Amino acid sequence: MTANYPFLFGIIFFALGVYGILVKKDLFKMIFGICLIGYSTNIFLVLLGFVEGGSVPIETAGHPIVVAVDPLVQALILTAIVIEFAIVMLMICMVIRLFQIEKSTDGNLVATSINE
Amino acid sequence: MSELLVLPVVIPLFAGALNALIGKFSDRLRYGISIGSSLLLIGIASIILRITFGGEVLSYRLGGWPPPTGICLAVDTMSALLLLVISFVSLLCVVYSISYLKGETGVHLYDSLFMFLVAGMNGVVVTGDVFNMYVFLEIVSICSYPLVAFRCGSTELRAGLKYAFLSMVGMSFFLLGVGFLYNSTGTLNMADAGRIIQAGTANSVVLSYALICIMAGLLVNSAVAPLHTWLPDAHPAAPSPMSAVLSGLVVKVSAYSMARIVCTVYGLTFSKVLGPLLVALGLLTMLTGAFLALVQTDIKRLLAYSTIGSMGFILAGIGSGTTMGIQGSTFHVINHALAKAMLFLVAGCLIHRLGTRDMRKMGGLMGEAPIEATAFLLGGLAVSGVPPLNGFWSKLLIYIGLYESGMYLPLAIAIGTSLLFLAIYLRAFKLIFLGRGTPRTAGIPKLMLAPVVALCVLTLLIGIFPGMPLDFTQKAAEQMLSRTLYTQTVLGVGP
Repeated sequence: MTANYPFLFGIIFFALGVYGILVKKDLFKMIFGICLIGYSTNIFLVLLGFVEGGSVPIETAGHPIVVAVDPLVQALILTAIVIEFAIVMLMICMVIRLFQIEKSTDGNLVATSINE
Repeated sequence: MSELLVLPVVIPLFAGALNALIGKFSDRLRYGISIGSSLLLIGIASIILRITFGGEVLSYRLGGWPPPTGICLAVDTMSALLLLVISFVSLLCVVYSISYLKGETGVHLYDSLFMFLVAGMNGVVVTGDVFNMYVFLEIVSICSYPLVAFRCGSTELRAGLKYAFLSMVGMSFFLLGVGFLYNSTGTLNMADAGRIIQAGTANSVVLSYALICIMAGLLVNSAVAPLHTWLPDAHPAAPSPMSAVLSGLVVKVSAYSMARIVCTVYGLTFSKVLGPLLVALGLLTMLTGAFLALVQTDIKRLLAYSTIGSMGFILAGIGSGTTMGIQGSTFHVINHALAKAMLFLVAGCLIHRLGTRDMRKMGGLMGEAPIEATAFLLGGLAVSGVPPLNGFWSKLLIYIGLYESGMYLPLAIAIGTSLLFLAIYLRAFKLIFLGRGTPRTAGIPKLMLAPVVALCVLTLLIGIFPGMPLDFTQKAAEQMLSRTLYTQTVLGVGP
């Protein structure tokens, strides 16, 4: 049962992220919400690969591995983190450009239907 | 021959990098790189299609690592067809954008991102690994956001951000789903996962979670109602050739991923509700798209809503679960890509002429712009499925698929929606081209008209001689549904 507690962190992060996107009225805070959702996914994936009593999956001379955690999910989230980083940077750049034009980072700029 | 599979990803990646590095100094060099690599891609895609149509599935192991450990690329007829369509439409859009974007700043970056986008789309289509698919889908997304916001005005930036927000949440769900899939099957290779799911040894509850999460991500990216809200803002905001690619190809690539996950990994027999659920979502999507397109006055928004409607048809075809239905969906992906690309390019020509997107301010353009008028009418009729144009055959196959699986009410709704589409396009045609208008425009560069004419001719040709494309799509649907050949080739077990 205690092994499931860490998953709670993922769920809390996810809930915070959804809160950030839905409730906050500032584009930067909404982007933080997006980040939190991404991090919650990453935490979740790492925990899926966790093995009780597992060690780091790197074998060195004289220290053979008995039980190791799954290295594949760690490789996956490493890739996902890089991608998320790039996209979040791009979004922040776009928000900055938008701020230069509109002099505002109001979330309603994006949340409403955009007509000519 | 399987080494060929690397090229559809590598060539545009190199072309994109070259465009970004040296494209600034010479326009001609940049066009040469973009057009040359697109032509090369068409050649490669034709060769791959020829091989796969002969009943073979090509599979390449990256770095020589055997699956399921290593990443593999795998191409069957469905993927090869999409490769060909992607290369063809992107070539025409590159040619079109030469004149369309003349005088704008940062065009070399546009061309560079465009080639990266092609690399991403080709990657999604050729990959045989779920996580690799996620990476390529993200490449497609990260190239699409700045291309939507290319002009950097308030509208464009807001549309790009909206697209980014929704798509980013969707892709997080996709990643979560990939995690669940790995947790239950212990593999990321699609063929291997399919084999394990068929054997029934995996935990079916976790598998359902995985399917729900993956589909949630893909439904956002393929603009299925009620997750479509980004599309009518994002697609019109982009420059017209980019709108053509977004509407014609990018959403189709997400639909392809959906078909691949549903058919190859899970199999339509995985759950009884899966097929009907897809059909229901498809109906909701086509009705949403059609009814909202009916009231638009902005030409590009109208086309964007019509794209949503067509995605509904594609989804319904996949959901019907019959060979005919999936064949229809594949064919509709191709036909709609050609027709909608043509319509967006025509819209670009009209905007170039008049400087407005409002259809109420157009009118009476028939005499001035006969080529655009013909193309718009042909494209509209093709999207609504009027014989003898290409869209008729694909929609007919989707109807037959729905009929075969006993879904009579969805069939009636689908036919009704097609009629709505006809009304939408005839109304738009009347607003733009008929009536009396004052002549007020300059001419259109020939380089912008050539892609429109090429697409026009192709739409008519496929409509009048549907034999060969029908054979191709039938093969694609059969391979997609039987999936034994795919699994055996990828995993390297003999038949």
